[in-house]
Amino acid sequence: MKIRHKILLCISLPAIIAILLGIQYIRVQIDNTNTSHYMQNNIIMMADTSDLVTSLQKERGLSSLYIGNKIDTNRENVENQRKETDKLLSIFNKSIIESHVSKEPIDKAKSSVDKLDSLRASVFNAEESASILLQYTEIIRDLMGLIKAAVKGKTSFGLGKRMTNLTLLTEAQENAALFRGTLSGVLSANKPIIETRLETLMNLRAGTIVNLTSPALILSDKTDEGVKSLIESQDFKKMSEAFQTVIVKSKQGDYNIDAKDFFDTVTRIISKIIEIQNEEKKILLKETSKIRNESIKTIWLTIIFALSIFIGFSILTFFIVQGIIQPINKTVLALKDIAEGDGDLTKRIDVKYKDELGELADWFNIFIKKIQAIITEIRVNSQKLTSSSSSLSQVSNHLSSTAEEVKSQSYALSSNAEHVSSHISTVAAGAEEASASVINISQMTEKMSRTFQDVSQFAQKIVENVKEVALSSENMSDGETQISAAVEEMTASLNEVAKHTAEANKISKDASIRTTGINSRMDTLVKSSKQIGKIVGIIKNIADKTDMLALNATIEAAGAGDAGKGFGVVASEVKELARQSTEATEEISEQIEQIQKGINEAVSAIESINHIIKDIAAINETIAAAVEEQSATANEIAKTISANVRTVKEVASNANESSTLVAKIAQSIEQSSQTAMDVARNVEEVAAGVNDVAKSTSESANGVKEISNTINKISNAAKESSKSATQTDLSSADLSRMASLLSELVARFKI
Amino acid sequence: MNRKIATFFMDSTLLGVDILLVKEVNRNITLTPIPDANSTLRGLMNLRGKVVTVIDLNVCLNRPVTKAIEECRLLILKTDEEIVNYQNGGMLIGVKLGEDIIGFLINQMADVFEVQDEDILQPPPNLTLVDKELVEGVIKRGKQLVILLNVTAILDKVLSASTKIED
Repeated sequence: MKIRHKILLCISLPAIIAILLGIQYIRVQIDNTNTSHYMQNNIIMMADTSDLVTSLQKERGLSSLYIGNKIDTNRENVENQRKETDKLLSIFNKSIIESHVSKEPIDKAKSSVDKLDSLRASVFNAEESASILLQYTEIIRDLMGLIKAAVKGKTSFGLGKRMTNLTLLTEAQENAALFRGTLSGVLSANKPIIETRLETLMNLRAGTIVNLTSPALILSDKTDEGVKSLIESQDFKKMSEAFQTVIVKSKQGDYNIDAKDFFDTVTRIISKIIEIQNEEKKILLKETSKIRNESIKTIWLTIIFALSIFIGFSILTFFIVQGIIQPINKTVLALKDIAEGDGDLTKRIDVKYKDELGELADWFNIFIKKIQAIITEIRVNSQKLTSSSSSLSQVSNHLSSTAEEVKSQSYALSSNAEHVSSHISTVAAGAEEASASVINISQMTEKMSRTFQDVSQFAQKIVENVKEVALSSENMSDGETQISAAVEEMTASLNEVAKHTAEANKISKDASIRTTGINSRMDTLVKSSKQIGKIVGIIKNIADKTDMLALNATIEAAGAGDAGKGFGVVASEVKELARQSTEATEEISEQIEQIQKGINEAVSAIESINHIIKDIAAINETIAAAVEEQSATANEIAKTISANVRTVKEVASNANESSTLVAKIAQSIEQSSQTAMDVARNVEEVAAGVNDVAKSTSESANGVKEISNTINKISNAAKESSKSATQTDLSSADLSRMASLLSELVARFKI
Repeated sequence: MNRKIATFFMDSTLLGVDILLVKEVNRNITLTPIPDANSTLRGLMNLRGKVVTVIDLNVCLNRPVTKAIEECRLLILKTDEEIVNYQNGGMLIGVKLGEDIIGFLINQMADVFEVQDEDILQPPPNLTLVDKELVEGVIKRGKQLVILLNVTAILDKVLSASTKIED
């Protein structure tokens, strides 16, 4: 149901009710009008009936008079009266047709009236009046019954009571008429009357007076006064007097009252009553017609009023509905336009009312404006979102692949790190081996030192012997045997010196070779540690290099003969490891730095050893040369002593020379001894350095293990990242799809 | 008598030298070229403060040069001074290495193995890979044949050639 209909209903409902009420009112008024119309007709009918009754009463009285005294005048009077009655009868017949009384009393009255002809016929032949009177009276009663029925009919406006009064007056008239007829008959007969007749007369008179003076008789002022004046009139008194006379003389007869006169008197009274009745009827008719006119007037007024209300309401409704519906319709059209217009948010409701609808439009416009702003923002954001999500997707894809790469790389790294770890462990073992070798050198050097000390002792012995030779040659007289023995002893000593010196020379050269070997090993260690410390890819290189190192070690071991056998084993081990390490790879820079530091210290220490050993070698060579020379000289001495004593002095001088030389040698040897000690100390230092290297290398191995663990963790993290990235990728794909969907949705709006 | 032989590849040919003649094998070769020198003399190298004369063994043995110098190895020989000890001990008799340190540019190092003297055979007549003058003998090692080089002869050849050019 639309608002228009609702408003129409709201407004038209009271209008319809008002119209219905008006119609009802009109209907009532029409009813009233009808009623008053009926009343009028009934009153007219009643008037006609009562006229007829009056005429019949006259006829009855006159008939009674004729029967009592059959004179022509009386007959004439009766016939005249009959003519009048007939006239009134025709009027009555007309008026009952228009009257509104129930059918029964009308039929009764009609049938009674029909009897009148036969009754009339019997009147002129009748001897006795009583039955005729009774018949007339019956007709009159039926007619009065009709009047009563009319009174009892539909009445209104308080007129019913007053119409009842008319019957009272009619009753009074009837009683008076009967009284007139009866008493005038008595008077004309002028005979005593029976008691029952008297009683009837009394009743009739009383009926007349009672009806006229009844407290129920309420008449209009004018008629009321008529009634009063009638009761107080001369005729009324005359009637009463006549009656009293009859009562007094009822048993004697001879009343001495003119019947005709009495009849006339009562007739005057009756006509007076009729007059009053007519007066009353007129008044009633007047009032009825007044009521009827008023009713008709009211009907018209009501109709006009109702119509004007209807029209007024219609116009009002039209304007109200127009005033409300039109803006609503306009607003609805505008909203419909916006709703059906493909989400065009640029549109606005153009409704300029200063009422609630205007407010509605304003607020709706504000709302649309806000939505427009929001949609604009959403559009921008959704575009951003789309690009963001796609980039996110890319990033996550990238992340995923990167994570996978990291994972695989870290796997490779991990295994490589393990290889490197083992490799470093082997390097450590090699370093330990090197340490052992160095200790071996140290022991050798110490042995050398001891040899030097022996040499020194022998040299001192030589000095002593030479001094003895000198002494002996100076004391030549002591004989050749002593000299020869001394020389032989000296030669033996020299041989011993030569032997020891050669041994020392050999050992020092051996040491030189070894230190050189250590030196190169240290160099390669430095290089290999640097290689390890650098990049993963160089490991192969390192292995290659290690291979070479092993080769070189093998060369060295071969060169060293039996002493290098252990080294040869180590070298082959290293070579084997080098093959294994081709795959190994890891970065161990921090530890490698320490290794390099230690190795550098070792290298520098070894180089200084190398120098010292070379010095020793040089000195040894000098000693050897000197001893050889000495030996040759001593042999020469020995030969010369046995051959020529003269050469003893020469020998002595030579011996002195030898003595100084030997002293020099002794000095040199001591120096050598000291140097050898130094060497031993340095070698120990080297051993410590190498131990450091070994320790650092073990630490490196540990570091590498840690790194390996870290790499495993990284690998796990990478796995997680990969998983997360995949998840993110999916999510971002979802996001992307949603973003594009949102974008599409937003694009539907025109902003 | 036992000898140890260090072997190496020149392309696919397996050559060998007595290990006692080898001072060391080096791989990081940084050469200083000698201007206008014989093509066998590839250049000079600083070996821990000592000058090493680098000889291209491929050129020397009339073989094509197959490898870049970065991938080659340097077989450094000892000097006379360094082998005198062995010679005194009766080994390496008749070997002369000169006073200068000589390095052979080789392709790739191989194994070191021990060999008995009697297992060193005379070079077969069909051996065309290397000039017979420069070969001391051949050793069968499994399926492979090791050509033992006469280092003294090679050095003589190279040094005399270089001297000729100098003249």
